[in-house]
Amino acid sequence: MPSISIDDVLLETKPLNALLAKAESPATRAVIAALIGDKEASENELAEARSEGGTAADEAIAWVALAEGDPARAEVAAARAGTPLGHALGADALLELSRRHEAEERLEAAGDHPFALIVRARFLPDPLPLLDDVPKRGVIGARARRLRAIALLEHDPPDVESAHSELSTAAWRLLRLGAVGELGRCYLTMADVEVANADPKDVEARQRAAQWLARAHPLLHRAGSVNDLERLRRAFRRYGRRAIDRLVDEDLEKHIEGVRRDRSRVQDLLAAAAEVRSTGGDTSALDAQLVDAMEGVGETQEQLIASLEQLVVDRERLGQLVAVCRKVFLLDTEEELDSSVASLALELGGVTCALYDLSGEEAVLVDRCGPPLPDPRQVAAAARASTDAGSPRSADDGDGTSIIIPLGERRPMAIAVRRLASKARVGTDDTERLQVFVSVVEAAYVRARHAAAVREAGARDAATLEAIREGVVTLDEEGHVRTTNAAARALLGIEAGVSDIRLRDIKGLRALAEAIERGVEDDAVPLPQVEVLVRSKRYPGGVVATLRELQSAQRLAQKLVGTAARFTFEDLIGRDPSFMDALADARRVAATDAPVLITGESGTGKELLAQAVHNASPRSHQPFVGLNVAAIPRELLESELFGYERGAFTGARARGHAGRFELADRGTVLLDEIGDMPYEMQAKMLRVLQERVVQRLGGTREIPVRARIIATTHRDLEQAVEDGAFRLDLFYRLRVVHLKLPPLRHRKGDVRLLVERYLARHSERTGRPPIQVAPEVMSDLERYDWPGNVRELSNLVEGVVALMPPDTSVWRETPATIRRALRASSFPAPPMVESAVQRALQPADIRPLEEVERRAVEMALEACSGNVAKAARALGVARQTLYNKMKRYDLR
Amino acid sequence: MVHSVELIFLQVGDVEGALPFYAKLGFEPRSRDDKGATLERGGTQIVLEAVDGYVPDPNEKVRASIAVPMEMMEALWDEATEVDPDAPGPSLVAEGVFEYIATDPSGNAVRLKSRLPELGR
Repeated sequence: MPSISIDDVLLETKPLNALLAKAESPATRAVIAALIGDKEASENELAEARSEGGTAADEAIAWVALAEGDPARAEVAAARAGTPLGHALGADALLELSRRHEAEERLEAAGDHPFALIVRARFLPDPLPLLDDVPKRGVIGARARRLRAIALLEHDPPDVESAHSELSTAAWRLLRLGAVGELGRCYLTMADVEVANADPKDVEARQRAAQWLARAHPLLHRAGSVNDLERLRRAFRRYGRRAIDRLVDEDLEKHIEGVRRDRSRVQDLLAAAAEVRSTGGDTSALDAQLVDAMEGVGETQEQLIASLEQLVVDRERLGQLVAVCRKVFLLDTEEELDSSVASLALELGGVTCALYDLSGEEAVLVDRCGPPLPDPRQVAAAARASTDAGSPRSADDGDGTSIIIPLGERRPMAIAVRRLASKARVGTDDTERLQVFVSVVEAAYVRARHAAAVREAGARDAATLEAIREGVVTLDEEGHVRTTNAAARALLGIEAGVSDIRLRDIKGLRALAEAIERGVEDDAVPLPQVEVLVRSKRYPGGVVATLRELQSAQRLAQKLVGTAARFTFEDLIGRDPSFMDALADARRVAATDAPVLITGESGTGKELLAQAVHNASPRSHQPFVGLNVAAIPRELLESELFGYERGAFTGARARGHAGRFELADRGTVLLDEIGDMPYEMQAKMLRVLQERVVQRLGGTREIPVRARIIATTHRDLEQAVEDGAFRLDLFYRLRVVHLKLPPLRHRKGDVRLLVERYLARHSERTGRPPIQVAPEVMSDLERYDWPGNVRELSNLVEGVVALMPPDTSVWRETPATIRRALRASSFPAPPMVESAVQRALQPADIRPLEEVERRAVEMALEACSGNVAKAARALGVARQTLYNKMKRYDLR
Repeated sequence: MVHSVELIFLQVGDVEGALPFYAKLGFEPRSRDDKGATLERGGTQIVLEAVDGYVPDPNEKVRASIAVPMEMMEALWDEATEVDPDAPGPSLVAEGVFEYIATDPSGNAVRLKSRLPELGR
């Protein structure tokens, strides 16, 4: 296998980490380590490469030196290498050193090496065509893409979209390669892309740019050069000020590190020269290197000193700015600000400061500090222009320059600071410092207006609080009572003005205090007089709680919708495995918020199960609100479900009406017979389930839906979906949990249990001795198919015991309807109705027409899987007629 | 019994044709019938509903957003570049993700998202 060269590394497309282990040459490994940001490994490999010598070592030295921002060292090593890559690297270094002519010569020698194309592009006004010729792969390809992006941004107008695309692809490749430094440079350029076409006032674009800089920072700190960090610092100055100080510190560290490195290099060279000299050898080559190294030391030290000086100046100016800003923070009202801002601005330098109000047509001078401006009209016009443009303006009066910065949007203003040209030039840094001050002043104005509004709102809130019917109480972090309204005081039995008392220290209120501090959502808590539903929510500094008398909350929902959840799992009787499975699933699902679909034939106990799920759930203290979809005319269904605003339609209540979802609040909504919901209504239901909001009819406000939804149906919804009568998406949303209740004829073993339970309940209720069932009667009951399921059985038992003479304690006779049905079911040939009519030869065989009709309807519905339209067609009657008959015989 | 899943509904003209596409995104079939198919990956379910002659609504640019690892995104991009060498690749978003709009065989545009891995920390 041929050894891997540096050229191979630069065009590699697979992760560089993996290549590191395969590379045999230390020079190649040094370049890979530098690319992946492992500086220590890179230096070690470079030392080994240096000791081995050769052109690869020089190429590596030149590459690493360029990556670290040391073009002088890179140029010397690249010249020694003498290879196409070496010449290209040398040309790049010479350009950095501003030796353009030599760089051109070096590029001639580099030929068409991919890196030479990249360097050559730097000479061209339009580098894009040449960069197109660079191979698209590897680190080289990614760098070419980044340079293309930079060129595209420099177009007029900038081609932001193409630049973004180039950088995205480059970043993708570099992430796959693990090339840390190049990736950092890509992110740095992304910051420029974000703001390239953005409005200067577009804060979000600047924030996005700052996000890229934050991503670039660790990468460049690890694998970037001094120049990269300087570019990053400049970008942070533009897009994200807060990070500057940290970067200044890091730059200093980098310079100090450079001084140490150069010093050790000089020491090594001196030691080597001493050794050569002691053996009488020629030290001229080492001397030349020593001169280079000494120059390097000088340059690095100069950089360090410049950074230190800049740091000192920056810190002093920063300290001054902080001190002035602190004074601004002490001003509380707009009036105080109006009269102080101008004098404070002058503390940052300048001879005159004027504050203008530009909310009217004329610029109004609010305050001035210092001697009058030589040309106030010129400055006022510039103030207007700066406010219109949203950016600073300057006005030169011959002796001095005024810089004008806009301030505020609700009340447009501008600050003008005049400095004498002979004493202080208005420079970029000064403008930036003044802008920081102005942004602080702007925030202070907003805060002052806010504070005034808060004072007003405080008085209004106090009045509102007192008017609320629910009790409201706030506690601080230590549990001291801070606020109460009249309702809370009535519930808690405390007087107005009570504060600084811990709620838990008040007799009888410890449980309440613990619940509030724990954070509860509609938990029932006993108080000395009543039980209340408590909901509490933390806020910074304390906790607020609402208290609602428990009975009143439940009564309200019941009063409005007439439903209540009375049944629990104890009321669902049966031992049949399929029934028990459904109950076990229902118990598990009760604790969750998942929507539940309960299916089963009419009379199997779907609503009972829904109530049981509600009562076993954490929502049991909340309302249970049911709606029989089949029973409500379709025109009224929407207003019943979602409510309506006043005047939504003719006949609407004057104050509007809350829908079931609103009434249920955090409780449960039962949508009984969902399968009968009109198709167009299903789309609206789907929206409720997906977006968890409702809108009242005629209203625009979105009301959040917090209720859990349980739907029931006797229909085969899958069939309805297939028939196009029910939406598939709604079906999936409702059927997150599907509970199927078996018909009683499939669990005949439970008939005895149910009968005994109903009889026992009857005797409990009436005080009569328990009624026994004759074995032959029980046998008939167990053989019967119970088309009306448990409801039919319950009604039958109730009817039988009601008619039993008071002195009878044994149920001896099977009811006639059951006897007849059992006889009919023993007839051989279906269809049963027809054969029964034909065979009605004996008077005992003749059954009432009503029963025959009822059976015919049942059979038709069963044969058509509950599809009413199909069953009506089969029976030869109109669909509405069939609905009427189903209602009459209580069939669903 | 109790599921907590993110559901994505998509209509497709050809369910069979769609399955390999979503398999590449790691979705495995959970159920299949003539009305469609349900696919699942982790906590996400895709319900494909078969609609004869389905054509996506041109006004609805993206039908679904799905988080995927970079490798899956890359595989789809590679396929796209086989057809068109200049096919646009994943796009960087400031929040720190790559976005890639892929088109399933029924023409549904699906937005894929991959979080940027962190190098250098």
